[in-house]
Amino acid sequence: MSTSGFTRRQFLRVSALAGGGLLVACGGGGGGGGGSNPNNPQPPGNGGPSDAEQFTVSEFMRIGSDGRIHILVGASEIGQGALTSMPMIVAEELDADWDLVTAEHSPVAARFNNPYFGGLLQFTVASATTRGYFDNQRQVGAAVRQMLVNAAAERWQVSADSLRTERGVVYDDLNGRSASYGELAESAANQPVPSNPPLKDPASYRIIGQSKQRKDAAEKVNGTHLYGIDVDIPDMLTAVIARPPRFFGQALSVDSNAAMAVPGVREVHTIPSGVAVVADDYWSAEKGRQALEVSWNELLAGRTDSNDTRDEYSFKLNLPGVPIRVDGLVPVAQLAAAENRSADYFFPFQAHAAMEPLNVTVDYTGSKADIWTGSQSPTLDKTFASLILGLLPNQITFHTMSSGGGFGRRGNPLADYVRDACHVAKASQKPVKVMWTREDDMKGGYYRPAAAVRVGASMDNQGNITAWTHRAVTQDVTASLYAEELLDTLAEGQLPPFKELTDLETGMPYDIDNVLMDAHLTLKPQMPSLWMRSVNKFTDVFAQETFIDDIAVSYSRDPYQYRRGMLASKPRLLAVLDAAAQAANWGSTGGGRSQGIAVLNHWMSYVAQVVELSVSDDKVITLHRIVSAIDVGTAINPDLVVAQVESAVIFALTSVFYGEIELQDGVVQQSNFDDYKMLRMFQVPQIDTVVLPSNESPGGVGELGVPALGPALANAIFAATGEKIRELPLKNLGYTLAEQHPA
Amino acid sequence: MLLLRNYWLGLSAALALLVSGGALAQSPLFTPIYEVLTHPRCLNCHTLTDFPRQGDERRRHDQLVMRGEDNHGAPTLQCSACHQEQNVAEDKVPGAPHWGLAPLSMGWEGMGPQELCTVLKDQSKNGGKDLQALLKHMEEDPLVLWGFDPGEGRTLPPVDHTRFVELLEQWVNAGGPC
Amino acid sequence: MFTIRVNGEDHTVDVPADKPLLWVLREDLKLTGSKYGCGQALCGACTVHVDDQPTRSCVMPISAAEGHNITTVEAIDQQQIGRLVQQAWQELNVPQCGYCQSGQVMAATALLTENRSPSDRDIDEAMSGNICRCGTYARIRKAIHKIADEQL
Repeated sequence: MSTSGFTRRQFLRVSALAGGGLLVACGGGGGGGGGSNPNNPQPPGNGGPSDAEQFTVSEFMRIGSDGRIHILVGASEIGQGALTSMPMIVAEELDADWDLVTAEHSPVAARFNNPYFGGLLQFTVASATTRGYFDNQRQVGAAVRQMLVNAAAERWQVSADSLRTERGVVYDDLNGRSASYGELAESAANQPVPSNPPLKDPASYRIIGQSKQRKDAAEKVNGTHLYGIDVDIPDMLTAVIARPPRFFGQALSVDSNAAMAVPGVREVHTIPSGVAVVADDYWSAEKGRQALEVSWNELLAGRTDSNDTRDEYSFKLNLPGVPIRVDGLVPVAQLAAAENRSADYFFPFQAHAAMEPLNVTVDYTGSKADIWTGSQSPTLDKTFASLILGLLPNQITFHTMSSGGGFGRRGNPLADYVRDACHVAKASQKPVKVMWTREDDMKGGYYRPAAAVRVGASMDNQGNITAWTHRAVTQDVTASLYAEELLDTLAEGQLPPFKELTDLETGMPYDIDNVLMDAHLTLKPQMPSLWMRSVNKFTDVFAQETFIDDIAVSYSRDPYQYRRGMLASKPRLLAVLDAAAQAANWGSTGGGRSQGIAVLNHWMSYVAQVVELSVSDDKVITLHRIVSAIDVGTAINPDLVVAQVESAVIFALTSVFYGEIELQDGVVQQSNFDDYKMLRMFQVPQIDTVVLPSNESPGGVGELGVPALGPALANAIFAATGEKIRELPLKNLGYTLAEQHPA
Repeated sequence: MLLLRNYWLGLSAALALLVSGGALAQSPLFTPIYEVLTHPRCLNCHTLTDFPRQGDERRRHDQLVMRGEDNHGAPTLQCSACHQEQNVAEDKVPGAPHWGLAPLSMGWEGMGPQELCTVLKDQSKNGGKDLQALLKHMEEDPLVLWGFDPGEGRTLPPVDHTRFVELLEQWVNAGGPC
Repeated sequence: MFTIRVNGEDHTVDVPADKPLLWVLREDLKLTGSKYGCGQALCGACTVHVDDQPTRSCVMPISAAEGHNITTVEAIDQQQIGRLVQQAWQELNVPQCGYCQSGQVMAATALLTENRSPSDRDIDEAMSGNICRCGTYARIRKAIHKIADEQL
């Protein structure tokens, strides 16, 4: 990660307000988008959403004369704690009083773009928030701190070097005086912005590395935290969209008479993705949709079938793909090997199923628009909105709301749900909230794509691996982006590095001289797929790590020690492997319990996980304990890092046991949480997480705990039963989960 | 694999013979009633377990739903937390007045016709109902009625409620032979 | 017209009889703390208390809600145990995305009100109707035990 220069244009424009203060922090904070509370259109000092936007535009932080510091965050809060950890980084270098810091989502503007994506986008995916913003957030905090110090030096006519800062106060120790940041804010605003402020030595951190309480925790337990679905603006209508049974079908004819007869239904509009029923409230809209009669043109509709996909991918496993990693000479090593073996794996489509179904509110007046939605991709969402509404980007105020879960679904570069809502708003010309029901969300596509993987290994007489092959067949979730000319309108004509987001596994970490990894990225434009938490690591690492155990066990090698022997050149990975094994008391379980282990290095972070379980004769799995050891470099807020790993463990267990979207002739079979099950409280085992101390650059955390959990679990099943798990989900193999605390 | 399947087919055919043979030895008046009472619409809540079942596959009720002391769920996850007095959400969520499990003593799972018939009539187990009271229960109880009109997406017992009542009347009038 | 008593106040709304309580709370009474997650009582995000019993408001017709005392998350801090639950949830960083937490708080408050020292089994039986996609279950369990052990 290069540290690009800190420019005035990019990061802050500090301006004084009459009456003192580097602007006044607005009340509450953190709850709304862009500084405005849509449910209270006239908060004190603000004329309304758009006025508030103007008020905050081009600001990075506000310091009140009362010393309160309000920080605008360019990353999206999707549960990972961005609105807590980002301000912690700023506050550290600012030497702020953490108790006086509040935060909210920034406006959608270039200076809040994530440097990880070339500074082109606000994009909260790929575990890239902390990694991407860390350096710049520090610089912002350090620069403002320097401005405050310089203001104090000017006021007291002393050298800035003789002053120090602590918890929101500038001290002049020599002369025994001090001034709070609030007192200095107004004059600090007139100081030049230092271009290269000094950064702290990590040894003197007092906020970074501390387990702080989430800034949004209070609002999230008393019902006041506002999500997109909670937005309520005057005269707002509510719409639901009837969609074709197969992806990309088109409405051929619409009989809206019965729908319009439902009390409360106001309008019916045909839009590209379906037919929108617009009503006074959700319940009327939904009843109107049930009464709507639409016949669909499905000539060009998607006909993806899960079984056919599996057959197609299985066939393609036999064909060479596009090489993505070539080390040494695999064919030669295979010829010289004592044994060559391979295994094929298959993984189904999966839905993100965030708890808050998708929704977007649009207030479009013809010459400007306000948009509220929980989004991981506000820059692209806003770009598409401007194209559909025929507005310039600066005529649109995009309010990034807290997301009730994202997992990638709210980071769709094609902005599907925002485009839909803009079409409805444009047709209606009234403020409208477009709601997705759970069923809409479940059947709405943009799934984790199905995948097949073939791994192969060549061994010498002792079972040492001399060559490794890995072939993935899956859908390119990014390829379709390049077909979208619209994206060319993006800043500076460059496309962001979406290719990297496909994230096919090339990081096979073991010391093996000969490696060939190749892939078939199939194009299925009628089968909308998307990244889902940990993307292709979920499938690739499952195959890799279960196959390692397959080999180890057949050569009578302990799976943990076998991995150890191949990680001599990866000290950080070796360290988490050892830490996990130690914490899990590897090898010393009794009472019919079995363990499985797996490792992963990605997102600049390292993880090893151990699953301990037992399996009954009728395939009921009792999970006893799950241990994760991680090295994420500098952990900004260790407790939230642990929370992310706990979250990933549950997320992965759900995927591994239940996660499957089935398509029959293009029709999605699942609809709600009864047929797309989630792990529940009674199934959750003891989860322990060890965070290895580190001062290295921060790595990604949000996805880290997902990919290795499945193979660790499958390896434990293999150890318990001898069954090699070659496909998911486990429910299809007859496995169920036991109650953790039987009555 | 094929052999195994044939084996199972044979075994289940033999079992079916046994069962139907057994049923033939029962009162023919009770046989059609038995077939209704052991339908998932009835049996899912006439369980012998401390939890209800759901669906035609009779899977254990999701959400770790429990029988509870009063047969209406765990203390803070009562049946009425979700089940209304009628079906809601386009019949997706079933409902009827006093939705709940039958008491354990009225659990019928795994019973053959004769055993079920005996248990059904046993006033120490059926809540003190004589034959007429049984008839009235199955004629009028809204939860029983729901079983014959369970809403879209649910299979029905082998006969409709009118016929069921006729069959019951015949059985009751004959003195409830097992 | 239906009159319902929510958080101690009567409200009269002119809505169809089958409109679920959840949407009356959210749209007509502007109490958006109770969340829509599934519409079929499968996830528990909409949990409110009806006469102190946790109830899925997304499937309760407004016609069935008349005559009952309804408490939503917005007023759960009026109960001592509700406050303790909210405090413990904050202290242990329970919420992540937070969307399910209104329902979790309502379910946990009812549990601890009914049972001041719940076992793990009691927690499982009371809380397994509430889905958390972020997987905060372990912290929820810990928070419930913490309240029971230290404060009740």
